[in-house]
Amino acid sequence: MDAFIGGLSLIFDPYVLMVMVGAAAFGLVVGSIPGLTATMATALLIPVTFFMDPVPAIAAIVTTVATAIFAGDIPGALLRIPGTPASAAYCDEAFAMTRKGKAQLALGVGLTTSIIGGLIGAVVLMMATSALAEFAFKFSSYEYFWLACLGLSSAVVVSSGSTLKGFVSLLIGLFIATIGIDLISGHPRFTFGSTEMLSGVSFIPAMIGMFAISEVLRFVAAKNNSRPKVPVQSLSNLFKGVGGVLYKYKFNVFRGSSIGAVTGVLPGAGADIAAWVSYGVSKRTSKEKEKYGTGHVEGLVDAGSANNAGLAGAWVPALVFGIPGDSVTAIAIGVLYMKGMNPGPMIFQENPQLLNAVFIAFFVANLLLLPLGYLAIRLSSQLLKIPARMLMPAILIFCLVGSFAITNSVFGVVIMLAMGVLAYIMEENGFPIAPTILGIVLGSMLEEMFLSSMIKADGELLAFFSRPIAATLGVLTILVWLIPIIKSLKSKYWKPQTP
Amino acid sequence: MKFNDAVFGIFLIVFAIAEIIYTRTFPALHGQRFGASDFPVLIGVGLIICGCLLVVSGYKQRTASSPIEEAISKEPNLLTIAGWREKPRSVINFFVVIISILFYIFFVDALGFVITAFSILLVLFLRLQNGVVASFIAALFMTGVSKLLFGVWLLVPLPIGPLGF
Repeated sequence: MDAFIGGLSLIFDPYVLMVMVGAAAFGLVVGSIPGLTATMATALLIPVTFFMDPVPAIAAIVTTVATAIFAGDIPGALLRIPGTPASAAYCDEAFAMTRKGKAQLALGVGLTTSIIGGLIGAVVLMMATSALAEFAFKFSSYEYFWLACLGLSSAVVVSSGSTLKGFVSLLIGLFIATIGIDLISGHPRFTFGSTEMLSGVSFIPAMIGMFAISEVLRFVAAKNNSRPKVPVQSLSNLFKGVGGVLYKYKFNVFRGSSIGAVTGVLPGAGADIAAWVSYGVSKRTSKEKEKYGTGHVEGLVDAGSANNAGLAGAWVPALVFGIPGDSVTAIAIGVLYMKGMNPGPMIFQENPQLLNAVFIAFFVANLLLLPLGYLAIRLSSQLLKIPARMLMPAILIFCLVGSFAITNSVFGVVIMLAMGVLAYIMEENGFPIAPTILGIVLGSMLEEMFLSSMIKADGELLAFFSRPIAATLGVLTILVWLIPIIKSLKSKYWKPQTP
Repeated sequence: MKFNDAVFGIFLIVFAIAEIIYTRTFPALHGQRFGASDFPVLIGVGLIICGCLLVVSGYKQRTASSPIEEAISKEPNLLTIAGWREKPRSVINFFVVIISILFYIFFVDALGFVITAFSILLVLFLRLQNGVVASFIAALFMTGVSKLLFGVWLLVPLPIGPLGF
């Protein structure tokens, strides 16, 4: 209880609240502009959070992402362009409602379900982390090794596109993590005599490069960057009819939030996958299946609550095991490491106030969404008119100065450029970049656990399966590795019979 | 700018072999069989396996049998720049962004943050088809905002040029 009160006092500090309001406004603007993702918003925010204490830094990240994910619904509903990938699942449905003249209801439902989903996700986060922390204390290096492998492998398997390319992306991330001085032996690796490379590839410039610079490059290389036409519809009475919809689909709100929170917990599966899964379940189990795709609000209720619930879920493995659930939590973990606060079960004993502050930040961020989200929808016609060609140079300069600020030298900018070009080429050729990020964040932990396990076992690989939890996690990991092989064999040798 | 999978595959195999050879020079931990080279070697082996599978997949792309796939496979060969060829302006913009970043890397210490950032912003705003006056005002505004946010508020030691800012 003391820790909870400690957490409350940390969040309800005027400075932290001010940071959260600023972060919410930033998240809403970035999220509502098509092409700028919630992860990009986080990447642009971290150079600023770098100079903050851990609590405002984490609160800013939580708030930005929660608001950006909701704001993605705005261009989704009005322009049929999802503001963030998490809104893609139900973008057509919301736009179909707009075409029927129901943009107000679509956005009102989107806002309220986002808030409810976010709050339910925060409750799940609180309960699941406490329950899992006890369990995590029993872990040795074998369990952590397998858990990291399982997290990384799941991230590859669930990532969009080819699984093979996902594995390549992961290996690239793991390789990047080995650059710099090896913390176990003290030997410099792949530094080629550069003193700046000794500390490795700096995390923040790498993130900025992979999420922001690659996006700027993609924008300027795109063929059509014309300004979209915003439909004229009244958005003044946003909550009209929302109560009735929520009452009618109360079970859907709860189901969407639960699916979202659970999907978010799975490593690699973030808010976007949560929305797709939830929308799919909603459509399959609905009594009015035929209405889906024609502007039916039911799917919106499920998926709108799922993506915001998924955000909190992704923090469960991040806080308990130090293994991020998605790209945003990977960035947050990187920020925590830089602040000298290593996530994992020890944080529950060493810094329970911080942990409670994270939980409370989720509640406050979602509550802030109500007035600020309302304001963002009312201002949406102006927000959506901001031309991206005015924004991209501004984003580039923030990237340059943000990367410079971390290392206080142009070396950060060099890393940013290299990683930005790498991410651009990878994405253009169908290689997902999320596994690379997870590889960079988890690489050193995975190597440390691997080496200490090998030394303990004296090179005996069977020792990795000698403890019950380790064996279970090991078998699960191997099963995840087998999924793509089985899928490929099935598609090769098993042809469905056509009548 | 799309490469055939085989190009990536071959690159990954060559890179991984070089990485493994270089890694073998790392010392083992004192009194242990293991050391700094083990993990990078495992990554290298993984890259070689993935590289071989990509070569196979790239080869299959090129020997595709359906007429549509054949038409595609004739066109892309090892590198496809179809999207770019149609709009040279995009290609120029792409390289302007890269050159702007390189300009920052090489000249910010000599010219100072304000001059460097303003020049980059002005060029980019103009290249992205914004009006001259709007570009000038936006470049000036963004330079001021970033200088204030990072240089003054967050106390980042942004380089100072010959004019004292």
